[in-house]
Amino acid sequence: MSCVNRFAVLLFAFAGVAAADTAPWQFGTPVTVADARPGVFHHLESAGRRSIAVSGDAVAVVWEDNRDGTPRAYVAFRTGAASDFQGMRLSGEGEAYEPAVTGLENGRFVFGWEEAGQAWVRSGGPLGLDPPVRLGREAGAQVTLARGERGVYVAWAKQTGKVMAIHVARLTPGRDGAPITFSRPVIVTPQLQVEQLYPALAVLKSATVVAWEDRRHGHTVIYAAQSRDDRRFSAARRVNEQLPRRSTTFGRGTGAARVVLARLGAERAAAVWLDKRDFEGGYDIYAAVTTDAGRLFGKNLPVVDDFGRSFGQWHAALAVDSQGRQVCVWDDDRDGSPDLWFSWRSDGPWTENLGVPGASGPELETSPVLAFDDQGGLHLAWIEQVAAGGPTRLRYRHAPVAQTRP
Amino acid sequence: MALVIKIVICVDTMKKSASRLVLLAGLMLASHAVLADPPAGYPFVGYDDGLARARQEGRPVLVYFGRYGCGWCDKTNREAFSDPRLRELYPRRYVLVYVDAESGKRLTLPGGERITERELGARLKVLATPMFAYLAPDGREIFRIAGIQSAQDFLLYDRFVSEGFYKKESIREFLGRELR
Repeated sequence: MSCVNRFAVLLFAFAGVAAADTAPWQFGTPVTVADARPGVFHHLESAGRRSIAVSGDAVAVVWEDNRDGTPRAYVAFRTGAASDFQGMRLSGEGEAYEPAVTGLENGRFVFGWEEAGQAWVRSGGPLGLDPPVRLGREAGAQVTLARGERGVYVAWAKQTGKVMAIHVARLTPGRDGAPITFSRPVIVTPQLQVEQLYPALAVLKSATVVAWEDRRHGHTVIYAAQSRDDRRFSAARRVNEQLPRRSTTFGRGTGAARVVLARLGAERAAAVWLDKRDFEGGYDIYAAVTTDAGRLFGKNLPVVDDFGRSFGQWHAALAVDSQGRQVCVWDDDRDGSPDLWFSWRSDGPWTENLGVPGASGPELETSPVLAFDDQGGLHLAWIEQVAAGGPTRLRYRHAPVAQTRP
Repeated sequence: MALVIKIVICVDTMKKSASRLVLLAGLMLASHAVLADPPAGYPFVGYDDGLARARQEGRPVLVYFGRYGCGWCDKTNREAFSDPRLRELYPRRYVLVYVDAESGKRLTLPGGERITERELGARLKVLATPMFAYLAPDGREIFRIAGIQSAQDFLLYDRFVSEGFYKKESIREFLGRELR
């Protein structure tokens, strides 16, 4: 390590300590949601990184693991003051992946997942799950969910001709154990059937906003569109700012991937995504906000600090607390092994990056997801692995309420 | 100079100074805009198939991590993989595997874990594409290297693997000696 790099490390270590003093969350003791077993691998993966949600006093975490030899989707609930999570199986007999969840009211949730190559949803809570419903016969994957004043919505990548295209439908949870029903799925870009992947959703007061990875330009770009009537979407607009360069170095353009949306207020939503625009150390995380219910997203802001940008960031997740504070969490290995890092902002720039307490060290901590409850409490889940390739366990930590508004 | 830069990329942690050198080197290259896919005329297969074949046939694996729209991948395809020596040598000696580092396509790791191609990229810290990983027939990684490669580079890497140099020295030591 050069002298300059050593100095940089010391400088940022000092900055980290200083930032820790001002971190607005005090995390409680980590809890194991699903324990490590030889040969079992847990994955916290979902389109829009919607793997944790809060409803009333219940927290739900959804994931996939292969405990019985087949990848299946599971959910675990923690209710009230209980410290432990109680789990149940979400998916059926087929191989299942990438479950997502969003909260309803009174401790109930809606779940979505991919099973046997098709998209599924169901509702339920700690007392039991309602019957599962398949979202059509076509191939489907990468299900994501969101709820707002306008209702509960699902978006997924659905086979459309030769490509997977993003579709959105409104969900109506059944009563008294009846299965969920869904409206006719609406294709987001009917005039242009091009490969589209990994949607993210935010439900605002006047519109449903969807963002996704889009390959129309010969490289992966983040696009977004809004629907005010559930029948059609506005023209797709680009979210990630593309530098005007095409060359052997950049090909058709740099890569952007795995967008996440969070509702920021009645007509505002925030987005974060992974972005290779500066070619330094792999993906960085960028963020943007829409203030017109998803018609346009604004200036892109870097979430990762200068030192962190030398390293690759992965699995960025985003949530907004009751004060309108955007919090982004991800993993990177700037300290030698994958650890969880986070940053937040209200109106200004994103803060200095800070290690998530209790989610760093020689183990591998990856794939974080987070959600806020109505009181401002932060709920965080992630995957922990003692050594690469070894068994994993699913961890959870709660920070009751932010202390101050930064 | 390009080779020196590639060796720098080969270290586990890519530092900013190295990235900047790579960026500068890339900017010095000629300008073309084309899509990146596996090079035409080579029998690239998916990860699962490739590792199963490698075990069966006792052949090493070359894993090519590309990205949709990656300019360096396309340049390597056009300028290195078009070389008749590689066309003859690589399909015969290696099981060739292509991974799209942004894809949600699933694969099975040797330990039984099912993950996406993108997640494989995260685990292997694929910070830049193309990245080439040489694996033993049992799936163990021999070495990896990122960035634009020439046919001559691939011929040297082949010697490092097929003549067993990797058992006694690192790729950095091998290249340092060979290029002296």
